[in-house]
Amino acid sequence: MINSAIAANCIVFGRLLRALGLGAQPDRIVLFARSLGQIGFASRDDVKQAGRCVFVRNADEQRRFDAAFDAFWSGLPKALEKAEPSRTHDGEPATGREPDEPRPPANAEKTRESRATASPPLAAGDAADARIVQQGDRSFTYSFAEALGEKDFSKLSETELELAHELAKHKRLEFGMRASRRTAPGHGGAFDPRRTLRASLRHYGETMQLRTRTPRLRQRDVVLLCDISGSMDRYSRLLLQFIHVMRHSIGKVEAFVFGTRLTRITRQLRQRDVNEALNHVAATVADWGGGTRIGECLREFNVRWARRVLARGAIVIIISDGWDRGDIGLLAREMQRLQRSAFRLIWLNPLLGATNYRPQTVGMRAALPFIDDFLPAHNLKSLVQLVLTLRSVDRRRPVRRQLAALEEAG
Amino acid sequence: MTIMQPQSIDDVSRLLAEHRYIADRNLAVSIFLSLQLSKALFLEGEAGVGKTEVAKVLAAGMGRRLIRLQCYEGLDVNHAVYEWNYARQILHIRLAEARGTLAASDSTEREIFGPEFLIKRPLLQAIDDSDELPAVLLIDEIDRADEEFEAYLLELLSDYSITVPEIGTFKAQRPPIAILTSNRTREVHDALKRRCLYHWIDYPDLAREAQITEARVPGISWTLAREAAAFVASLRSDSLYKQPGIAETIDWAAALLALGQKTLDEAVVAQTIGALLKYQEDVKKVRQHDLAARVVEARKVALA
Repeated sequence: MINSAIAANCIVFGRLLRALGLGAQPDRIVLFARSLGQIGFASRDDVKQAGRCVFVRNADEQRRFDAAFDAFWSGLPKALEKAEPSRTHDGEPATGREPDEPRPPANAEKTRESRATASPPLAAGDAADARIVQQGDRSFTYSFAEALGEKDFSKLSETELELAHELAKHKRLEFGMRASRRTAPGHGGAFDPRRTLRASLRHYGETMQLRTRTPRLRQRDVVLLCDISGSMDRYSRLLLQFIHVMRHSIGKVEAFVFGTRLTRITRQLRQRDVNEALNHVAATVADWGGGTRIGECLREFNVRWARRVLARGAIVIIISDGWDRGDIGLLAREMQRLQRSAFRLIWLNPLLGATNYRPQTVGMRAALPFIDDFLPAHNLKSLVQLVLTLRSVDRRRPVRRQLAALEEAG
Repeated sequence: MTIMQPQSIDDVSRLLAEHRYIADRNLAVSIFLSLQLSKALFLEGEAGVGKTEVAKVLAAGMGRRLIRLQCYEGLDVNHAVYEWNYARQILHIRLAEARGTLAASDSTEREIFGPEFLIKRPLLQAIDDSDELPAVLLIDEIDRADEEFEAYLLELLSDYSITVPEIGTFKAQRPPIAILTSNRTREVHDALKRRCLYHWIDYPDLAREAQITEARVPGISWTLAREAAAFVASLRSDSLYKQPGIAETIDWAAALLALGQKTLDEAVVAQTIGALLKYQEDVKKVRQHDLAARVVEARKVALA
């Protein structure tokens, strides 16, 4: 069985994990203690794995857990210390980062610091506890402060409110519906034996009416890819607000921003408060107002994310002016692939608002053959227009002429 | 040999190995804890890393029945839990009518919603198992089911009981060994993961992949198994749209063996690459990017 010292350590460890943003609720901690009772302390790696399968729920959490574990349990007596020396605690900030996302630089100092403090003694004292929690807090605040200097979204503009208001007018944002495989009672669909039989019982088993079920309609997933490079700077605030509104008014929305690299911001937008959400985004994204490599970013999306977020016929919306400093051939290839995996590929271009605009940039020209809808996005009105367009997305995939386009180009 | 109840982590490893499943230590720990604590095990990982196989091997190794529920969008209670046998119910009503007993009592309704008219689907089978030993319940590719179905699983996985309104509640005497798998085509809700132990299955390292290949492809030489594993590992380090899984390695190694290969050579690799890569772009990329050098490199790595 587990003695009280170990139980106390489990609790302190649990608090450390919570401070790092991992879900270490009491029931998990109990489960962890029970696991230790099962596997004992013979091997440090086994203990670590037991902790992983109790506390961790995705790859990102796993990295944070590993760091916390190494830091925390390095304070345990030698019996537990098998061979492996504790790795450096890299002080992952608990802002729900995705793997491979850029980590703020200047970690070196912090690492040294955490190595000094993060070896709590076995005896679980309140002091040690407090120190851990404090340390967790420090990693929270760090990335905020750093990035806020770079991009300031702190003021809520009128636009946001206006936009939300405008969208609210169209009460139920029913756009891009698809038939789900799930059914509901309805007229003229497939035979529903259960309800038919039920109904017949009211008439002593005489079937008076065949009951049927029809497919339920479901909102298509929407994936937004927003350009935040230098040339898009003046629109980025409006667009991010727009994305935030979308995120909170329609079903499933995945959001990414890109400049020289791709960053997923879906989680950062989870907060309802737009100021907080955008601050969060500002803190996460490292390449504001820089160059653009659309091709590379789309490739990154296709390789790493497409399988996860484009299932079940999602609608993809790219927001960019098409200024690209990367490889144009790559851009065309990735656009082609993206179009094939998306149910509908929409490109919003702020420049399209100008009446005399022609898609002249090389990037835009390369991408154009693979776009289903090419729409403006320079002001509020055009965004509302977009939403109305989305409503008319019908059940069938648009007709595409990829091959013809390629032959012309090649 | 079957091991009824593994008593240690090593027992688990041994059990898996006997059924030609070469697991790393971490997976054995997770499985052991899942068995000891009667918690469902949630396995996540890329396609073809052997998630489903864990359940099959456990069932075989522990002498249990395997009950498999393949998830898909629109999976509902009628297909996952139970359904009434409508044809028999209607027939029963007709018979009662013919006998003239229909109007006389409302017992007919009670009869036709009795156990003998109930068709048990996988989840109910797993709960209401009349065997002495609880079954292995495999809920495969949960990410393909929709959120509504996930919510249904919450009750099942916390209490191991199922309520059929017309009859009452079925409760498992001893909970089944539940294994859930997901390919991460979407995030599964936290509430569901909370009821499980979580384990991420990664691609194996070269040595283990060679071992797996050797165990799964009878008659293959150790050299060829290592070369195949090294070649696949080099593909995985490229950014391909779809990385080959272990399942693909095994298929490919079997293909090489069937062609009588003793060792890798460029021509045969080019001919059989379709067993590994399933996207035209990926095939093109690998063929164009100096396949010969890659083959030579793989053979060198395999020797090391």
